[in-house]
Amino acid sequence: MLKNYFKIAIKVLKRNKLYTFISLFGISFTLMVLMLASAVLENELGGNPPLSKGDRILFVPTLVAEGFQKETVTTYDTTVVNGVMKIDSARSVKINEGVVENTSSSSIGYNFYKKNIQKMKTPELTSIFIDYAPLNVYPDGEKLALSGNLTDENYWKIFDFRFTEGGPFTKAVIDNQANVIILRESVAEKYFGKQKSYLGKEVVWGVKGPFKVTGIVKDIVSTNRSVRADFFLPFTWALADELGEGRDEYFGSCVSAILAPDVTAVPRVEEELRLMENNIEKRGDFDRYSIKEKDVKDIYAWNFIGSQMTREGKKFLTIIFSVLAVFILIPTLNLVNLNVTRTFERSSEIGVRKAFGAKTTDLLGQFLFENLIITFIGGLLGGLFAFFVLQYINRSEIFGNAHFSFNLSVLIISVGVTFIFGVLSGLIPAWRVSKTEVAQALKSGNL
Amino acid sequence: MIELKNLSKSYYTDVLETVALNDISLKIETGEFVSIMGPSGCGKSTLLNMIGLLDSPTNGHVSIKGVNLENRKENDLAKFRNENLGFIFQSFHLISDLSVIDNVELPLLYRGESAKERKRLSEAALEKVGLLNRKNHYPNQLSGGQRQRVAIARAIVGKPAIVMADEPTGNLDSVLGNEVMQLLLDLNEQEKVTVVMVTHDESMARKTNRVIRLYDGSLVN
Repeated sequence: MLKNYFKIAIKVLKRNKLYTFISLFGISFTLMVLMLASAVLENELGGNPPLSKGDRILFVPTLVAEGFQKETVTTYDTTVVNGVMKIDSARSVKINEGVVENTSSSSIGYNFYKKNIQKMKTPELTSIFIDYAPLNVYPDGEKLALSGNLTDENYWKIFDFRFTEGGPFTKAVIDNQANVIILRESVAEKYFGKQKSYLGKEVVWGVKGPFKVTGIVKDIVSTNRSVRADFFLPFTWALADELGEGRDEYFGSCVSAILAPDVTAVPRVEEELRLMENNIEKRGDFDRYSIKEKDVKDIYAWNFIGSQMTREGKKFLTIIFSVLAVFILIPTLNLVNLNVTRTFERSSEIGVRKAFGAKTTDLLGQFLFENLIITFIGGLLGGLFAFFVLQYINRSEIFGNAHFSFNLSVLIISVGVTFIFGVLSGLIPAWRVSKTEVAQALKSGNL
Repeated sequence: MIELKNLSKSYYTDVLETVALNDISLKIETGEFVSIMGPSGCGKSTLLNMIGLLDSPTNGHVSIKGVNLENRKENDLAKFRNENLGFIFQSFHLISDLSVIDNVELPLLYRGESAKERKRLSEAALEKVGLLNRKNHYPNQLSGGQRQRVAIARAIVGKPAIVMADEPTGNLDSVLGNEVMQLLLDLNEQEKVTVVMVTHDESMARKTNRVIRLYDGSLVN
């Protein structure tokens, strides 16, 4: 029976080449795009090093301080002394709670971290670092524009960088403001030329060099600024202004990363941050502070939507998945339409089969099988296209050093979705035709 | 073998009722070769479809081999057709995507026969109609006469008790038509298969045991 169905399925595919092409192209192209999109998301949010613990990490890139409206109130008191009226006045400041008059938002300063975040109870670890510090170096007289992170020792425990040689900064190295540097593999190659080992070599710039290389990390595939750096220096090399020392000490150029003990503890960390907001010692004209933490998804979404004030990770993923759903729906509806037309064209064949004893289940089984074949071929082609396109993208480094991997589960789910729609689009008209009188079915359609 | 009682068939549109068959009662005995004749549109094919359980009557009932087939479920009718009836159509109705042998084995496919048995029986049926050498051809590689012989092989492969033939020679020239008619006569005489044939051709009808004439959906005595 299946052999017969298979023969028919292949013949049907061969019979109307345009229909087959449109169907297969629709299925395979859609699957390929889904695979590529999922590869990009997987690369960013899939928990790859150095963000393997990404689902446990909260970043604090922003602190917001608000000052409420203040009114000076003068009260007058009159007294009569010896028949003479005397007026006393007293001035007080009335704070209009909730009416915000001035707002300041910026990255956090070192003191804010030290006094608040570092003292938190719920995290497993906290770290402070400065990201995106620009640096121009001139190996062989040619400008090499780099950006780096200044990190503490916990940074390396929270973010699991892969070292090809050497290792992370120790506490002593950081406390002593040692002249050491960790480089990204390809940056080391650009700076020194390809070498067997870069350890002990020196990077020189301005008046601060030379800095001895103590570690080489594998190229980072994420676009997250907290980890995407060309070089790393001990945090103690940060300038006073970056630490916020010249300002009111709460604001600076730092980011904090907080590692929750496990995924379920993340909400508790968030709760502690909320509590902390209420207990932050007030400075200057500011009456209320709010901490704008973000998780890995929010940080990624920030590239596209939202602001430093908002957390848009979930919304972003909802938008992405909605767009992908629409994307898969369009060719699927096209397939449905083609399938419906095609099935009605085959009314006569259905009539013949029924005349010779085919039951409704036999006919539905046949159409199910045919759809399985076309979906399988489409899925195979889509998978192959995606595989080769990903290979090409990874080789050509169009997206920098990002490495996109083939996600088999996305392929299986996508093929499944296509199959369900294909089956419904084939089965519903087949079922309707199978319900018509055989004599009627025989009169219509082609064989 | 076949008994129709007060059989009527009407087709309805929003404003019109068209009576295709009107109160038909008749009996066809086992082993008979009956032809149904009448002018175009008189209801011949409709009557054949009723007998062949390809269409349901508006009123009346059909019984075959003593089984009353009124109000049967579609799947029961499919099983009954598969086991007892064979069909030959004027326009052959071969499935163009299937080879000759695959077309012939179609009724056996739905009977659940093994592939080996299907092949054996299909080859035997093709041998009978003289087309075994064409078993791997496709319908579009055959002449009209050959296609109708394939259709006959398909109709008889399951050894049905009754074969329904709707103008089996209608699309063939006289030579090929006679060849096909001879096959049906042989089938009737040698295998004792009951044949019910719709035809326009008096000369073909004269070769059968009995002619049933229809006019405007009613039997003509």
